[in-house]
Amino acid sequence: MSETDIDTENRKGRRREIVFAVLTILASVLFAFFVIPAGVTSPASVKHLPLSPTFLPYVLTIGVGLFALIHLLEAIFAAHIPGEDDASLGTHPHWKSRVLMLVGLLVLYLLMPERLGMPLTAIVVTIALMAIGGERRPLILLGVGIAVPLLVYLFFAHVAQVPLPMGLFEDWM
Amino acid sequence: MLENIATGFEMFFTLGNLLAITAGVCLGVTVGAIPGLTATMAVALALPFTFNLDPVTGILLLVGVYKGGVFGGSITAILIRAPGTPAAACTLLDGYPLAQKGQAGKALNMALYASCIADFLSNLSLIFFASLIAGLALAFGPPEYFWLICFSLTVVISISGSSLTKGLISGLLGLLTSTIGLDLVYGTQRFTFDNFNLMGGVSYIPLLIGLFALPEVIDFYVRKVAPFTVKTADKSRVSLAELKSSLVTIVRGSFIGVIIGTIPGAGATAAAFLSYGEARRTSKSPETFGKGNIEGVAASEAGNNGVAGATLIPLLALGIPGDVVTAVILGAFMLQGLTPGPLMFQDNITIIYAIFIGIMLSSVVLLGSGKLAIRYFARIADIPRHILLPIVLMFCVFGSYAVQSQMFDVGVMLAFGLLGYIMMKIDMAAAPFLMGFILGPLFEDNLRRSFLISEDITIFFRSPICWIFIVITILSAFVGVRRELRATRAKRDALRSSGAA
Amino acid sequence: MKLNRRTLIGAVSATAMLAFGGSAMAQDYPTKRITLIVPYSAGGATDVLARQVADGLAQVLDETVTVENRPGAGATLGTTQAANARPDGYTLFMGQVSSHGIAPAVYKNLQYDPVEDFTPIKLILSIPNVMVVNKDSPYQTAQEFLDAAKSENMSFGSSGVGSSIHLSGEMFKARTGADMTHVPFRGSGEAVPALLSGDVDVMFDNLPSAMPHIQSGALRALAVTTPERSEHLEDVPTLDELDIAELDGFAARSWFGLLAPAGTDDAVVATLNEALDEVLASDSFKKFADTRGGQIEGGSPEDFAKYIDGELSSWKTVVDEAGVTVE
Repeated sequence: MSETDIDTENRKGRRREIVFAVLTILASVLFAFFVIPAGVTSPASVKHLPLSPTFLPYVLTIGVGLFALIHLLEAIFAAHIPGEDDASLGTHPHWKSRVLMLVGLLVLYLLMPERLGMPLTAIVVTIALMAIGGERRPLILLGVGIAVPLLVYLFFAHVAQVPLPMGLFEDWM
Repeated sequence: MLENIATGFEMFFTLGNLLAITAGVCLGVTVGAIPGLTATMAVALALPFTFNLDPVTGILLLVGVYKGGVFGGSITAILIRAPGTPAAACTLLDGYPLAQKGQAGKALNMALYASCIADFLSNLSLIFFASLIAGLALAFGPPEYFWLICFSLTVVISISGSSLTKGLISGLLGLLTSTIGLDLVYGTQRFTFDNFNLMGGVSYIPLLIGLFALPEVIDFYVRKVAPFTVKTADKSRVSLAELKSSLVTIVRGSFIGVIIGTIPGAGATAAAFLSYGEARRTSKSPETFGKGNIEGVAASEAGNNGVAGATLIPLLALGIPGDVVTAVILGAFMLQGLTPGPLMFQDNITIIYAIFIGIMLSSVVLLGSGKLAIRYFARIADIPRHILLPIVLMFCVFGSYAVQSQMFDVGVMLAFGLLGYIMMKIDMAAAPFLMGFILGPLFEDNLRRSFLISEDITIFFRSPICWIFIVITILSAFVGVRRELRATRAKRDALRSSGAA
Repeated sequence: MKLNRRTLIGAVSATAMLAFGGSAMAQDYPTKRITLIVPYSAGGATDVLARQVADGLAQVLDETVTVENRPGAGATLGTTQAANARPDGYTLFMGQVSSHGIAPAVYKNLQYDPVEDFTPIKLILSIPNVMVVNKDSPYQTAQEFLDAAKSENMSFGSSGVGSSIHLSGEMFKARTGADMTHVPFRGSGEAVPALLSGDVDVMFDNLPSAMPHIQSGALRALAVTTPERSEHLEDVPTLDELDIAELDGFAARSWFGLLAPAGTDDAVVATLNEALDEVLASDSFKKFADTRGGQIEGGSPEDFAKYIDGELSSWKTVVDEAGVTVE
């Protein structure tokens, strides 16, 4: 890596820290002026200030803002220390589509269990994720993808006594 | 006395008791290793089985489950960064990096040795000093507690990772997250926005699993190649020299565990982090912590297992359950017609001795079944990542659901997984967030309780214990911050000189 | 005696219902696993009782009964979910003083109706609350405590806002005009040590968690809050019998009972009511109740419905008198 590369790396890193600090400060201001008043109900009479339900949230929010400010000053005025991020491992060439698919499957995990039942959802998502990860052997895809979720389901339901949602298959059990 | 001990021995040495301990520990290790299924849950599940057993056997079964569960949590923490039980969250800080370096075997074994040694020391304290240190449980009123928590919070400085300010922000965000739910004193809503699922607060285990395990899964799909495959075939073991050099850390961690365990309600997670913070503070190479320092694994496991025996101290000596697990064990005692407390030492001393003998033995059983568990669980690491991670994700989902049988918690897990991933990307340590989240309610509750008990602010300085913790809190914060600043300056100096060269 | 008569009525009415109202579906109930929803986490008092009941029911009905913990929001979360469950007899609910007594009075925007959304099956167990002080406390009787509390501020511990322990204290405070500050903890397990160490002055604890300390002498029981004395503490007076005008008719206790979602078939309810009779009469359950300082109840579904009505209105009165609400 040439010196100019390190320089641009540094400048990028520094800019990232500054953006982070500014966003955090903005968030804490937003929190203090809008979210806390809207989200915390405070009773009419409070004997001591620390007894109020809003006391700690305000103190913490101010703390976050303050440390973000310190971080901002540090990022602007002090030399940047590059993180130990192993840049050697770059992102996957198709990372955007991969992430999109992952998010889709996570949403499936959130919405489907109550309709399709947890075991079926787990089977579908597990097979899909293995396929995205590069597995092509049908035996592994179907074998592992079906057997493992079913076994784990049986363990949860019968050993740990956690009845996972069954959705459509409710009446089968 | 000797006669009692002899009778105790007689009472203990039955096949049933030995089987109960072994079965208990094995069940505990297995359940504990699964994210979402905690030691508490395992103990509650085992409780109905004790109804028809005799008292000693029943209690030993539960104690076995508890101890196995506490260790079991570290297995998945090390292998897949998903702590099986909350108390193992600290173990992953160094355990997982070790696994990434292909030294999973070493990390697992160190976790086991530290657990067993700590467990043993904790049991010894239970047997010999129970009556002596039980008083500690009652010496901690709200103000003393408040300062203890303040001291614990200074550990955040030690686990902040590369940037102190970011670590502190992370800790504060954790504290802030812990305020979600119904207010303790007034019962008013805080940040729940009329959502009934949030009224009890954000559940702890989904948050934990999401914060630590999920980012690894997400990262796998973003990165170019599989970052690593853990190889257990590496046969890495703990060398005698490593064990020796970690011994001080383990013993110190055990005693931190014993003290925290004796104080009701403080919990194993706090003990693990305190022990870890201490180990890092006294280490010659603090910068290697969090990057796969074997001593870090030893420290946190010693801390959380040191708690296990000690939580029985207030239970047996005073009849006070310090946490949910001991509350269940208290229930088991009462179902057997026994009432833990000073009276039990008078009336049923042989039963107590029999239980003590069993508890001592449980450390040995833990070593054996732990070795066995490591051998089989470690195979997990041989599974290729693209097959393993979808299964990890499934466990995260199942486990989050299991805690309260709520789909909402699966959502919580995914949300904190996303947060954890963002924090990973911006180099913000997640451990302080967890620490803040755990200690937040204890901090606020005791602050406010102190004000409720006394109108007077001097209540915060009412006892020597308060003063001790005030002093060590200030010292710890000061020393910690100074150390971090120095480390940063040293890095800058190194950078400048290399830039100049 | 009273218990026996109630049980008898229950059994008779149950048989009558079985004879006339049983549908085909209900006749072979149960045919699959039954789920018992507990609105508290594993290991708590309600959970332990529920597991005991589930165990007994499973034996009597010869079908698996699993306990499902759905904790959160002071029991209201699990209760809401039970209210919305399918009323086929395969989802049951472990009701208690909180879900079907206090919560409806305390929470403004409750998502369930304790009467409309549930079919009562049977009252199972009741537990008195007991007014306890530290053994070093200067007060030997409730009267002495009350006299002192009128002139100086006292603190009373509880297991949390809206618990029966909290409201018993509020009721005492509201009735007598005593000057008392509420100090909430998270669970009795946390509150009792504060009482033992003298950080709080008094507590109206549930008997099971106070019992060991009363026995060991670490806590002194001043009075029980039920109308009758507890068989486990026979020499401790009730607040009612203290001859303090303000405390006449003071009654606060914790209880547990089995309910099903509204619309559950009457025959199923009768089957369960009868099965519970058997469970409650078993030696293991008697032993369980005994060690917990509880009183085994019983009776018909109608008895339980009446009981719930009574509880709802009496807690409503307490909450109104004491002015406790949760937004």
